[in-house]
Amino acid sequence: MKAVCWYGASDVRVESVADPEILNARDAIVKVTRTAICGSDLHLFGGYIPAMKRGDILGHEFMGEIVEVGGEVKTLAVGDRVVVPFAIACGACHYCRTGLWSLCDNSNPNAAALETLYGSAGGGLFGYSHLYGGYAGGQAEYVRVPFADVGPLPVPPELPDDKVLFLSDIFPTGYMAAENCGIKPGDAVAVWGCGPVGLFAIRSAFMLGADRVFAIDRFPERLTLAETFGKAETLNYEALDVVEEMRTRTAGRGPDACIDAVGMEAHGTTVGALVDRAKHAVRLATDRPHVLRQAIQACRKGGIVSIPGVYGGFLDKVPLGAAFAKGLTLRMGQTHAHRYLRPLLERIAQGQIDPSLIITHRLTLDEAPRGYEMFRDKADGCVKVVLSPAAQGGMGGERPPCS
Amino acid sequence: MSFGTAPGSQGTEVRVRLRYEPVEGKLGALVARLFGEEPAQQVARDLRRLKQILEAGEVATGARRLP
Repeated sequence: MKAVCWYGASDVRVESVADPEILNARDAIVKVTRTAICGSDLHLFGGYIPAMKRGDILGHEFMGEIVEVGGEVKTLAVGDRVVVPFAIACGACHYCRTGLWSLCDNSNPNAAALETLYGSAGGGLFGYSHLYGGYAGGQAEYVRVPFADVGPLPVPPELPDDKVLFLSDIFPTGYMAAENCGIKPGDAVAVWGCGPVGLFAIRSAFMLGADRVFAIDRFPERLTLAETFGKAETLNYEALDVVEEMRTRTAGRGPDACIDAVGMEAHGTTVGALVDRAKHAVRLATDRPHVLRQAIQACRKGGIVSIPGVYGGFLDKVPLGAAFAKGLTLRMGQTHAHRYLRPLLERIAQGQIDPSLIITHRLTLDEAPRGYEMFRDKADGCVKVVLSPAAQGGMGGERPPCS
Repeated sequence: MSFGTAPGSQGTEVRVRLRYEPVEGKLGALVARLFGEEPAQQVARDLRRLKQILEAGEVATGARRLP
């Protein structure tokens, strides 16, 4: 089969590899019909995530058709059309039973390595390094899905792939980020980063009762989407002091909750942001926490800072003193995607949201390397790339339409 | 080896006590540790696999195919 393989920073290749097999009784094999490149894949593409090996298959946002099931999978049958959540969860451990699916105790075969690094280990993830289990990802024609009786969500035939694909990660991730804000009627929520997760966080904040949402970015096409798709008040951080501006617009208090939908590779215009960039470039720092600093600074007293953006290591000069002095609550972590699959599918089915509206590029699997570059460089107004394994690029086959 | 109720009745606690004489004494133990084969490390790995089998019914693997 064809698969998108990681070979190093800025080096992904489409290669021909052996098809996956059922290895455990709770496995299924999914034939991928649609997959996507996630913002967090760009951290891999940038070479910022450790424990990647040459040839690793990327991708954790995917859906498709069940083509084979192991003996213990009673909930799915061959032919079922499913969306697969990016986190792998056994469904039986203490964490899974209490709804903390991404913290599963049993799905990460390399848990010992993460325990050394972090104290204890999260569950396995598709296509996200050997620290998270070394599972092959979904940017491929076929994927082995472990614990298939727990994760994959059957989706109704009337909803096309593009509308339900993002249940795999970014829609639940934006939704959990907003849920973590403990939104009350009248609240103002600020969202840094109008990429896919930020856009879903904006929509979710309104769904959960926010009165106003401030959306912060610098790219015109992303700010436009935040306005049209998100109905947010947009702020270009290159044009104004966003902390001061939001304070002005909230009677001097600041937003009730702040969402950092950017994470470890933040850009900024301040001296601190430039220092971050230099240290990150020469690997003196693991992360560039510019947005997190600003979110803590902007948040009103007693407010909540919610962090769906990925951080990996040790953060320099995060103003914990300010967070303490203002009595802030910080909430973060990998999304417990399983928790949100059905409720969010329901919202899509009811027409409350059409996630496909954020897609800017539809490519074939063969075109994935170009997709990674475009998405990283935000070239051609790129906000979200989806890939179709069945479509043949440049070989006269079916080609998905571009929006 | 002993089985007991975990604190807060949140499951079962399995304790393994193993006494051994390392080959070449402390140096031997250190070398084994470097290769991840010191008995405490081996037991920890085995206990993790036991937990996976008892709770999830199988041992997790990131492999794509049988070797």
